[in-house]
Amino acid sequence: MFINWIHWQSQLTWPDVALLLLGTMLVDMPRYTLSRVVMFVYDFVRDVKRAVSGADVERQAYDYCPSVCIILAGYNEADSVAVSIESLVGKYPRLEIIVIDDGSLDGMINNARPFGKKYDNVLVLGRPDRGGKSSAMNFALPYTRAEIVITVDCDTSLDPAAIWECVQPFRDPLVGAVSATVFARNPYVNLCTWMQAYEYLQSIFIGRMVAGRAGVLGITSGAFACLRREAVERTLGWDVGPGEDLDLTLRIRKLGYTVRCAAYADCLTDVPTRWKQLWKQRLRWEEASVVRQHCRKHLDLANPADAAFRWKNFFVSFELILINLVFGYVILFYIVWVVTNNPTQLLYVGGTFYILSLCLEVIHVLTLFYYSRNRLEHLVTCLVFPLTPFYQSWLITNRVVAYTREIFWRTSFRDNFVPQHVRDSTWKW
Amino acid sequence: MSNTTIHADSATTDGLRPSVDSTRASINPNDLAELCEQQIGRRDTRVAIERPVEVIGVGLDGTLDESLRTSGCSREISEGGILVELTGGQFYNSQPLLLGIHLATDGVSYAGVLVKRIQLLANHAVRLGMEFGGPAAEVLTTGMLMPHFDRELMAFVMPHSSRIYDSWVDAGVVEKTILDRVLVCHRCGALPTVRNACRQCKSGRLTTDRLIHHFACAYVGFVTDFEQAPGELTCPKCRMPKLVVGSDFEYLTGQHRCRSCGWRDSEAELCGHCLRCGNRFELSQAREQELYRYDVHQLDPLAVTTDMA
Repeated sequence: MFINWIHWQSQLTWPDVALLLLGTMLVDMPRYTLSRVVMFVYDFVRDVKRAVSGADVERQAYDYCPSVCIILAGYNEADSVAVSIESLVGKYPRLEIIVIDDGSLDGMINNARPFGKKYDNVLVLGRPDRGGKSSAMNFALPYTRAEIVITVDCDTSLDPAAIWECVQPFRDPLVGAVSATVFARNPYVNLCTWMQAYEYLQSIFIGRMVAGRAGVLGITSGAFACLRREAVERTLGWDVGPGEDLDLTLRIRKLGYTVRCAAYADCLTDVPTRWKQLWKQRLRWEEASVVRQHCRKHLDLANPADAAFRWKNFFVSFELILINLVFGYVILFYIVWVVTNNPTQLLYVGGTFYILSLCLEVIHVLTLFYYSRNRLEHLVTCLVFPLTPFYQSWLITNRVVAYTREIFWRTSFRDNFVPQHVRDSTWKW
Repeated sequence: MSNTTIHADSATTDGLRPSVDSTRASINPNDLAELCEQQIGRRDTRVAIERPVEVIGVGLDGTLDESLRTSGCSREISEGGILVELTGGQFYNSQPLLLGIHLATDGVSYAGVLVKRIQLLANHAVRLGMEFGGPAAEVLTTGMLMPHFDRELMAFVMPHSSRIYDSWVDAGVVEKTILDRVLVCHRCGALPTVRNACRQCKSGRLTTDRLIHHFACAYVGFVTDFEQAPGELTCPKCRMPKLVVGSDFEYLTGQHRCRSCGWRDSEAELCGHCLRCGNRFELSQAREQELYRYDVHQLDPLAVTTDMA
C-alpha cells in the first residue's frame, strides 16, 4: 500500500501536485502557519537582539488599574456560584462583582446572597423567570459604572493574575474588547477532551494571539471576555444569543474599536467528555457564528460602501466566510468528487493531505512552545498532535452540517439556549 | 340533714383529717340532692354511676399536687356534684381537687371539684361528696387552655402561668400540642409589624428600581428609558414601539434605594417594629414564641346524667 502510494505520488506532475495541494498551500498555510511563523520570527529576533544588547527582558508591568466589574450570570448554577464568587473576590483592587441569577430553579440566588451581604462590592440580582444569558448580562449594566466589564461563566475559574493581564490592553483607548485565553480544566479524561485541550491551545492561545496582533480578531469567548463598558453601552448591550459574544464583539468593532488578545489571561473551563456532546456543542457554536452573524446580521462588515467600512473588519468576516464556510463545502465536494470518480485514490489523496498537515502541525507545536509559560504541561497536551488532521476533518464535517442547517432552517433560532418566549419574540436575521 | 353526715365543720384541729362519726353510717343519698338544692336552688337529678375515679390535689393557684393522688370509685353523679369512694387519703372541707373519671366511652374525663362532705369508711376508705367547681375547674375552662391575644400587651398570652400548665402536663391530665410559632420582639415579647427595610438604618422608606427586559433584543433598562412617548413604551435599543407587557417585555425588580440614608442593594432586610415598646430590629433578632394548646377530656355532668338516666 505504502509502495503504491509512493508510486502514485511519483506519477503526479507538478500541475497535479499544485492542484492537489493548492487549497492547503494558499489557505491553511498563510492563515495558520505562515502568520505564526512571521510572529515567531519577529518576536524571536527581537528577543535575541535584547539578549545580545544586554537589555532587560520585557516583563509585563501591571501598572494600569481601571475599575472592573465582573458579571457572573448563570442559570441553575447553585453548585458553582459560591466557589466562583469566592475565587474572584480579592483578585483585583478596584473590583465589583454583579451576580445575576437568570431565574434558576435550583436556588442559585440563595447561595449567592450571603456574599452580597458579606462583601460591599458584590451585588446579587435575580429575576423570577429565565430570560436568557444576554438579558441577564444586560441586567447588570445599569448597575455598574466600572470602566471595564468582564463576563465570566460560573463554571470558569480564572488564573490569579488573569484580571490584571486582561485589563492592560485597555490602556489604549481604542481597544474596545480583549479576548482572554480559555484552557480545558479536564484535558486528560479521554481522547475527546485531550484533543479539545490541544485545539484550545492552538486556536485560542496562539490563534487569537496572532489575530489580535494582526488587528483582525473578531471574537471574545463568553466564558471570559473583557469589554470596555463605554463600548458595550454604545452598542446597548448584548443581543439575544446564542453567539451573543461574537455578535457583541463585531458590533464593538463596527463602532471603530479594536479587539486585542491577552494571551496570558488564562481561565479554565470544563470541556465535553463525549464526542456526541462535543458534536452538539460545536453545532450550536457554528450555527450561531458564520452564517447567522457574518453572512446575515453583520454582512455590512464586508461592504466597502458602508460608511463605517474598515479593511480589518472586512478581513475578519472575509476570512471566516471564505475559509470556514466556502472551503468547508469545497473540501466536502472534493472528497465526494474523488470518491465518485476515482475511489482508489481517496487513500492516496488523504495520505498526502495527512503528511502535509502533519508537517504544518509540527511548526504549530514549535511556535506554541516558544510562547508557552507552562511548557511541560503543554508538551503533554501536544502529544496528540498527530491525530489533529483527523480531528480537524471531524470538525469541518460538523461545520458543514451546522452551516447547512443554519442556511436552510435557521436552527440557531430554535436553540433552547434561549427560553421559548424570547425565541418567539426575537429578531430573526 | 341527717345526723350521720360528717360535716367538714367538725374536722379535727389540724384541719386536714376529717372527724369520723363512730357509727360509720352510710351517707344519706339525699344529701347530695339537698346540697345541690342549696347551691343552685333546685333538687338535682342524681344517678348512680360506678366508674373508677382518681383525684389529684390542686393548689389554690391551680397547680396540681401529685403527692395527693388517690383512686377509687364513683357512686352517684348529678349536674352539680359527684359522690365517690376513695381508697384513702386526707381531705378537708372545701378542698380543691381534680377529679378524673374513667368513662367507658371517652377514656378519662376530668372536672374540678371542691370537697363538701367527708365520710370515713372501713379500711381507711373515704367517701367524698364533691361539688363541681374550684380552681381546677377554672383552669379547665376551654378558653383557659388556649392562648389569646391581649390587646393591651399586644402579645399572645395564656391565662395562667406556664408552671401551672406544666404541672397538668406532667400529671398526664392534659396533652400539650403546638399551635403556632410567632416572631415577637426580643425585648418585650410583643408582636411587631414587619417591613422590607434598609439594612443600614432600618428605615422602611425604600424605593425599588423597576426595569424592563425587552425580549426581542434582550435590552434591559429602567422603565423611564422606555417612556419616550406619552402613554406607550418604546425600546431604546431596537426602536420597537408600543410594547405590550407579557408579550414583548417583562418587568424586573432591581435594587432597593433608601430615602433616609442613601443605601442601595438588591436585598432589603426584613425588619420588625414592636407594637408595644417601639423597638426596631432585624427580624433575625426576633424571639420565637411557641404557642401551645392544651387538650383535655372535660367531664360533662349533664351529658353523663342524661345518658345514665
